[in-house]
Amino acid sequence: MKHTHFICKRAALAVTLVLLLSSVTVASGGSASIRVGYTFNDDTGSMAVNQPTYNTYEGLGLSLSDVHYRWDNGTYLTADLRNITMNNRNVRAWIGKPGRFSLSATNDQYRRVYDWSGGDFTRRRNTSVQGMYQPSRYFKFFGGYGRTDKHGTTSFFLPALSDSIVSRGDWSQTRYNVGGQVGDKHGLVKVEYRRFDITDHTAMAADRKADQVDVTATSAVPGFRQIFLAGGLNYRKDIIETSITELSTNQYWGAGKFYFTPTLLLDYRLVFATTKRNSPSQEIDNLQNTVTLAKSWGRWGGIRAGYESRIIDDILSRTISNGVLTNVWARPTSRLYLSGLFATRKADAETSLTVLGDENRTRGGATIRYSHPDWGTIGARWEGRFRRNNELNSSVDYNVASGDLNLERARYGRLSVSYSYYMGTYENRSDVTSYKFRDHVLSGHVYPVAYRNLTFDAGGTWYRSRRDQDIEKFNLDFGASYRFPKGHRLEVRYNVFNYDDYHFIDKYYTANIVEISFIKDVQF
Amino acid sequence: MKNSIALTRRLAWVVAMTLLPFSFVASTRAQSNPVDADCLNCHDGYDKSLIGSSHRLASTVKNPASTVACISCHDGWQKHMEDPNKDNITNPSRLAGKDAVTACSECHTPHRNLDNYGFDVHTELQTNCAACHKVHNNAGKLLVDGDARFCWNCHQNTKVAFARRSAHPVKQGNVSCLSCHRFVRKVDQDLSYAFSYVCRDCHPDRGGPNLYEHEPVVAYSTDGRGCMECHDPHGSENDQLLKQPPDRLCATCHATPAKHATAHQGAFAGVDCLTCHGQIHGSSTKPALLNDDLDAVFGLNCWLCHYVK
Repeated sequence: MKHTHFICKRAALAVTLVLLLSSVTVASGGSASIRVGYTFNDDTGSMAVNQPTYNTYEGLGLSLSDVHYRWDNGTYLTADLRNITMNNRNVRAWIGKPGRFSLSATNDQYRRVYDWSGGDFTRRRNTSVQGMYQPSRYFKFFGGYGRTDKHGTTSFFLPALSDSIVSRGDWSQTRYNVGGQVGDKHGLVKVEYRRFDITDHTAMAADRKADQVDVTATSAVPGFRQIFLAGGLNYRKDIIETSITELSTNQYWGAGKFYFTPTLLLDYRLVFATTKRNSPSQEIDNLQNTVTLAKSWGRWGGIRAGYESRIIDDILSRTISNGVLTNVWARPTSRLYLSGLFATRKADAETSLTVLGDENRTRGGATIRYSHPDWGTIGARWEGRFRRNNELNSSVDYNVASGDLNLERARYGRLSVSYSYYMGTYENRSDVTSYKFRDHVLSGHVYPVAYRNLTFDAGGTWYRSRRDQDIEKFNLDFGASYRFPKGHRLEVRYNVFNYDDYHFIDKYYTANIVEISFIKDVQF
Repeated sequence: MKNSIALTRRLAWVVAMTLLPFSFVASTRAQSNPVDADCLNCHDGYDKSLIGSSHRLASTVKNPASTVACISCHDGWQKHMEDPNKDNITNPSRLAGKDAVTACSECHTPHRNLDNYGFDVHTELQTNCAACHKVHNNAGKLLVDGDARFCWNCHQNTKVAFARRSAHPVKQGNVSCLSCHRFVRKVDQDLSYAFSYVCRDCHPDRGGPNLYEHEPVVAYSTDGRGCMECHDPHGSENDQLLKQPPDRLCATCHATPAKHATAHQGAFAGVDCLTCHGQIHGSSTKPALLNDDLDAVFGLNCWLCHYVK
């Protein structure tokens, strides 16, 4: 423990020295926005149903945003510290000299509510620090620390018991990483070691640790600039400390990119992964080969087609899958963009020991987008995913169709509108009913140009889920800001949230949230 | 001696003649190239928008790591100096097709240095680098914005998905697209193998190893399984990002055991699978992935039938 403290102390000292040496010259200035605001929340209903308001708190908030500070020697500081004084704080800071060093830190918290009154909730807290030092353009060293904590109680109402099941969770994960990189734009070698320690404070049996090593090498072939090669190794070992259960993975990969001509490209990728567990003993090998050929015609368009094979072999069972994939894109004029995608894969289970059996998966997509340099863009998109498993007698049909419009005129302002329609049909195994949903999401926002010192914006989102679900929710969002002389601003934001689940009388929620902020822009 | 002097003279003459054209070219360029100050006469303040990045103008800092000037990226300055029309100068962010990528790849290899194995679909589709990066910007990695909202300009349907009933808190700013899509360790389009690791970064309590595993959770394969088998990370109409409600999700792969259909349709009608099989992501104590605290929830009722497990 003493030794660890000693190492931390030395690391901190080294970082401080690097910072001091790199930023010893006179500061040349910066800017920031200081925001002091109060959030009022008037809500009714179950706090457990409306996700966007889980992490909302009533109270006084202090933020320091858009912080930029630069020194004459090129060292730069940026920071965005939101709601420092509140439980939903989200802070980030970065200092560095591009091409020489950087140090970044983040911290944020998120609450998820499980019961009507908000008494049962979990809170997740993330903290991370990452540093990088680059003694020359060819060498880079980096490392960092991260910690994620989650604690609190969850509860689910169980109609059979007419009561809720409440359970407590409390775990933390710490992460360390350190690595180095050597190379230039023609190629590089990168090595990174990562360590994870997961501690479950409620059940020691779940404590575990993991070590991970990633090695990556990429290079253009000397004398053959049309050939580019890459390869690497990913190793990871997870251990449950109490039972000495070990899970280790070795993944080797290689890839090649061959330009026959500047517009005709052949890609090849190979992945071989083997995973072993000691208790109960298990070993699975995976082999994947993918080859694609791509042809492009300048800015007019391109096509890519490929073949993929995968083998999963765990000695007792073996699954082989073969697939094809293709995508095309075209830009017939500089304003119009079209693209399409199709991929399908068939998996054959050679033995009957696998759970899932033979399976077909297909996906497709299409996009059309028109961009006008003076007006904005309009686009539409379709995406579909389909799965068939005759052995399980189950199937999935999932489609999404979307449209969006973005208008921008310097004289009037900006408007964005988007709509998506989701269709899902799940045919489950024959003895259970199927599941269907049809979801609509409509959202839009308008930002008119400022009138004198007053800016205003308004928007909203409407969501409706039909068929097996019957949920409707919406959010209206209004904002106004008045700019006083000498860099002061007064900002008011009003949000309405509403949620109704028409299948359950007690699953509803309405909130009126008003945030009034006073903002001071400062130069220093 | 005379010979050696003559030889030295000849050698010096040859060297001088060889170097002369180069020195001429160099001096010509030095005289006619605009310096950054000439550009900044009209484009005032543009140097400040580069000061926090590797593209900062070499003329504005001490000991620059690289020698970047305005004309490093903006080609066609000769004509622009004569006729300062915006059409007379190259703006890399407005280029289309292959030029959109090659303008930056003169110095940068697109995403190769980020472990992406040189196979980036954005590059293949000739997406302009400016769709995600803004050079005249002091943000980290020159991204257009720190919350990665720029992804939504093209991926509109994904943006809309975050407004569904349950979704990762992207709109609240706790995570961004780049929290999961990091351009690293990307092996194939399905990313199942990598995704298992990506999800574990924030959800370590859900990953293996466990003494008793749930096959789709561990997914020690590159075959498109993993967390995405049951969850839709971009947004779902069901709670906890589930693709189906809990009472039906399990039926995708599992038939209801006969005894469940009789015994559990009585007093416990309406109970879904997860009520009892709560350790669905793997268990170190229960082979059937049952809750450890079933006794506390149901009293001893369970053990009247399930005395073995």
